[in-house]
Amino acid sequence: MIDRYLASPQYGAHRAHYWLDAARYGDTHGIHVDNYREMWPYRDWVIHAYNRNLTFDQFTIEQLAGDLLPNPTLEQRIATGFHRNNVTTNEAGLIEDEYAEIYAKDRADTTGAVWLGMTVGCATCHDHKFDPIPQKDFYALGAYFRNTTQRVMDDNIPDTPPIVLVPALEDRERWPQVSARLGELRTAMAKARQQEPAAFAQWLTNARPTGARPLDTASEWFTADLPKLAEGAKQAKMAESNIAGRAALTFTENEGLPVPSSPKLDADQPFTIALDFFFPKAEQSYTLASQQVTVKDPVLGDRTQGWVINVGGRVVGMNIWGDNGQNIEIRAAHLEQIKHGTWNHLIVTYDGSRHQSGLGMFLNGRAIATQGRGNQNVVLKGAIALDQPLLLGRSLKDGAIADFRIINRVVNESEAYLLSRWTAIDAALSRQAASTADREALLVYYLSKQDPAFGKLASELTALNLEARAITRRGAITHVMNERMDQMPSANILFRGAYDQKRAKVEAATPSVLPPMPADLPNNRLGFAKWLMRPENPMTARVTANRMWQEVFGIGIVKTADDFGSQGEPPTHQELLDWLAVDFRENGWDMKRFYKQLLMSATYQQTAVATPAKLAKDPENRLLSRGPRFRMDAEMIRDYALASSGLLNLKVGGPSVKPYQPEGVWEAVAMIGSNTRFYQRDGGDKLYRRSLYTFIKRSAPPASLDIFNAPSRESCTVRRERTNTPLQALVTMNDTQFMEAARNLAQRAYVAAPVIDGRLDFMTANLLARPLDGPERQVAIKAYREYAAYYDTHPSDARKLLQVGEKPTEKAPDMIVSAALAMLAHQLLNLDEVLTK
Amino acid sequence: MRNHDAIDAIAAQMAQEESRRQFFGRGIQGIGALALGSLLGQDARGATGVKTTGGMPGLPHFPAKAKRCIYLHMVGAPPQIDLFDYKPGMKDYFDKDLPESIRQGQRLTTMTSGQSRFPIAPSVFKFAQHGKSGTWLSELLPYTAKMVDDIALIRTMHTEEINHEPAITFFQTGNMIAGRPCIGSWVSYGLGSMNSDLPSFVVLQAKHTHPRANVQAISARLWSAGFLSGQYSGVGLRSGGDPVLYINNPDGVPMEMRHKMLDALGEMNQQTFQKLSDPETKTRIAQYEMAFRMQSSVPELTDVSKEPESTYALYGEEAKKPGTFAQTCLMARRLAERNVRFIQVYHRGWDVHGSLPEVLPSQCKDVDQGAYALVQDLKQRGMLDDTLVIFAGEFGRTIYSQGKLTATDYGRDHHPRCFSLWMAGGGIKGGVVHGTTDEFSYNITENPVHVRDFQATVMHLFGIDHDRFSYKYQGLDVKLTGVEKASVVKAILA
Repeated sequence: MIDRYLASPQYGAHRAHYWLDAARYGDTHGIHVDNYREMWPYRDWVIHAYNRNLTFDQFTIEQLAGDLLPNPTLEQRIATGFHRNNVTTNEAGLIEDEYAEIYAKDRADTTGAVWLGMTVGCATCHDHKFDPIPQKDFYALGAYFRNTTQRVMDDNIPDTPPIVLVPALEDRERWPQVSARLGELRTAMAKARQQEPAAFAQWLTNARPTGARPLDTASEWFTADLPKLAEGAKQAKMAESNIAGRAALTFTENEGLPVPSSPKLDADQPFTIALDFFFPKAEQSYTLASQQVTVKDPVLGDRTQGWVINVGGRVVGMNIWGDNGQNIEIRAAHLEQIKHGTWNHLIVTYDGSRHQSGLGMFLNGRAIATQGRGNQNVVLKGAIALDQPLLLGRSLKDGAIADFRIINRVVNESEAYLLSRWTAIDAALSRQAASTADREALLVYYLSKQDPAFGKLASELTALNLEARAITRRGAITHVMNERMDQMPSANILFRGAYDQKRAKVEAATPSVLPPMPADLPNNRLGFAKWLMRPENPMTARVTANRMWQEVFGIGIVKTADDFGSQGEPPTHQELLDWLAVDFRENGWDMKRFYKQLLMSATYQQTAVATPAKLAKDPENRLLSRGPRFRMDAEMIRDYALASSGLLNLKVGGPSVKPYQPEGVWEAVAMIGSNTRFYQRDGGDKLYRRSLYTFIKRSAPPASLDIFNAPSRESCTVRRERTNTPLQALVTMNDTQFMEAARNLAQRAYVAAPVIDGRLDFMTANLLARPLDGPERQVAIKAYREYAAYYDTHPSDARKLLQVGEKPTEKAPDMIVSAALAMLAHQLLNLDEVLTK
Repeated sequence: MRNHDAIDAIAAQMAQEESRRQFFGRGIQGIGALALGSLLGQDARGATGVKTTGGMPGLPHFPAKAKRCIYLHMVGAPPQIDLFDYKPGMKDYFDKDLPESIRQGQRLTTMTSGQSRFPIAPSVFKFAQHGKSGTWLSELLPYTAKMVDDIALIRTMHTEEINHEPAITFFQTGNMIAGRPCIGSWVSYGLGSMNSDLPSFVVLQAKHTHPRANVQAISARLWSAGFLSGQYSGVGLRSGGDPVLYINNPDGVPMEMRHKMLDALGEMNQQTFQKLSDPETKTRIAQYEMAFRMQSSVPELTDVSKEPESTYALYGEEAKKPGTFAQTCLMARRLAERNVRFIQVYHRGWDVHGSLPEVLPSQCKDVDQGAYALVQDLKQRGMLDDTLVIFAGEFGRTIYSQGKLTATDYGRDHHPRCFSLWMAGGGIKGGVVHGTTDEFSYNITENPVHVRDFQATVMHLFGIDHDRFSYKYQGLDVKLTGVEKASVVKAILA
């Protein structure tokens, strides 16, 4: 039986929930705005790692330093999400140094608790007399984890770099080919731009007809004739500008200039909008171009339809609304803020997919970081096209537009560059004399128009970009570690732990109280991870064996599983722990073998009955005088109810889900702009996934799990609390999830047997794996009769009860019996014996 | 390390059994009420005969002045210069730069550290003196003005934190990083519960009304018990949906059926206990009964239909709307009446970086009458003497304007070096104004009160010496007030 459980894919799912506490995995950034963070591929990595019985040494090395292994696989990079799980912030006004220290401390604390059983963070401020970790060691340990390309501000985006794309299974093979070929193409095109062909210089001196275009005529859909638009307009005029010495359409009022006969952009049509604009004042918001109406809807309220390109908070962006008022949006990342008093060239591309991920952006000719994938579920519905004319500069007083084009497809990087430099190129071409500054732009223009080989590369690039975008859309993002290669890991000791009190610089180092790192290991995360697993390291094996023991027995041999030091509790069975640790290590860190050994032990299999003598001598069962008996973890309680009722959905992995939760739990704490402000419950079989897939918003963790001591995942937890409170009773009594489970269990019992005795046996077989004894049965049947008597006289209550939860009750011949059985199942689901392992 | 926990559990369990006998009216063998009382050390705890369950042996250290606390936190940080800290001289400084001698190169948030100048924005609001104490208050707080002789106003609060998230966390838990227990949890843990039908620590959130108010986040960590047992975490009492999460029975299950189900469940759990003798089973039986008592008492708590019209004359008509600050204050009073020990109220929208003259009056209107009514109501009922009321934010705001300053418009950035809060009742001396700041309300000139001192004072009012109240965690004796020195603010004690 044990082997069957160890081989089930659910083994990994179960083990993972413990590890994810230690790894502090969550689905939001945690601090302040607490937006969505796309991280679930890491969670799935953990599940699969357990299922394929990855040995604990490899499990450790890949999570701490998978990226530093030679030629790391995608899986090994995903594993490094372990230290990207820490909570991060993007609160305006914060001081980055301070949070850089907080992140480093979190990683040092977590590593210390999980592998070393040490509370290293005690030494943040100063040395302690009896503490084996002096202050210097704390900073030296933290140094391993802060030598990263990650920025402090998470930008409130779901994909804060460094990240990797995790393609969907069907794209796993194709993706490396696409990304490799993309790299080749970009290199080849960059190389071409560095070597002027012999004919180029000649071409430069040639006379050319006017009316040149950046792209081919078939692609160029619309170009605004700015001087013509300005004729007779009072809100804008053509005025001298400092962009290529040309006149630009300059706005004197906050009133848009209509563009007659402009194209109608629609949701299924790919397009690119390119414009050169002057950004006047930093603190003001501007609407650069738009085509939008407010549709009055007396029932649903007013909604917007159309599109708008704007600047707000010095960040450029575009919104597109379909005819149901939902919008997709792309916005430059915070670090791509533009400067006021400058000209900027903006390109937004859209692939006609109706998805948010179908949008792309170039700023000044360069593909830039954008505010991530936002709410991925949003898809444009219906049309965006309108009869209203396109407006330029609806609010752009003192600003200007020098070039405005619409292209009927998505442009590639080379084309984006040409578009961004077009005003200068056009001026140079018509002047028939190029300055050196224009020379590279002119070369790209020349290559695009005159060099067939370059043109071939460019069209392949366009096609592959679209394919890459589609693969990205089907795939997922996960956060990873990425080492800075330009420096060795180091840190400054901070006086009293204060970020602005930097003292001596220390190189990364392992704690001095432990055997030193051998010289042949690199002094970085990889060396550190390997050092953890060395046989002479006394901590890793003991701490891990103890934690695994704790999972099975409910309490560790060392109760303070995160603290083996002098301040923690001493082990109750020192020799046993030593033996287990050595056994674990010498058997190749084989986790399945280790768990099996524990489960097969006589200690585990002894009876859980507590005699008065045992209770007096061993109240907490620390001496293992009886078999383990403890209240199940939050996830297990919910999963158990779902499983026994036949509702449990055993799908492994995938994005987190949002099952039943009382209204208002998120809104109560969320910021207005947060994308996790409103809890949008999922439906269908997502309601019945295992609880480890429940979406964890860290500032408002899943209510029913939280009440049963599931951690908020804001920091590392290697030992959960296990309280026994009235609020827990309220959850299992009143949460829709539990009543729906009871109802379904009753339904199955109803079908399984014709009379109450058999139905009761069916239910207890599912819940307790045994029939009730005489006195128990008496109580249960008596209660059932009372329930039936009540519902017999209150059929409307019976009907209501049978409608709790989304899953419909199949047509039952007897509503009263069904309701009474549901109440009985509900009663049984709340039994101490059911809630307890 | 935690021997007392076991004692706690047994005591709590016995108390539950005792009240279960009253409630369910069936005889379950248990220890007599007399023995129970002495076990709980009831005599030491209170003269009023309120029964306490749980709590730490040896606490309180000395007789408590406050039995309960209602803590009104204004999330986002109210500007002291426009409300409490009158600086008449500032009108002559309009749009002049803050002298460098005052700023002293102090660190600013990165929201204004890039500003080229720091123009002084005098408050556009009028101040007047009130009460026998002659306390200066802004015209935005007309109701508070009527009770200045009931409150102690501290004008010299200061903190190290300059951003909301860490600053509120610091105020509540004594540490800027999440994970420590909050004040309400410390108090519940230390002193136990005075009510067997409701949680001892309840959190309420009031809505703000101004649509453009700048709202800051709060999170469950602010009412978390941290490393103390989760049973000491704050329990949300909500104005919409279930007042307490999962308090309402599912559809089709009336209380009558809940009672039947719990009777049968209790009996079967009792059978399990007889077989396995696991004390946890016993506790679980008691907790289900407590859950039932909560289900019975919460509707009674939240049913305000029997409140007389005089209540609404005092709290205002707003108190009839669920979720308003006034209604929340009324609910806080009802909780206090039922001896809930710690009642935490959050009201958001105070982060006035811009458009202060437009937003602040609305924020004040939200809270002024409710806070006043609460104090007066407690006074009328004779409860103010042993109920501490606190009105505070997490830091102050700058005298200089953030963004554009005009004669009628300005904003203020975060300011940790001085800010104001008031306290009333529960051993606080009324009519006191404590501490002085410089003419720019920038630096403290006399009697500074650190957040730690505030925390020590709250503990003191509860009869707890903050220095002797700690919990062993990760090898450290952790205190609410941390490792640095904290002092009780004696000058505001009655």
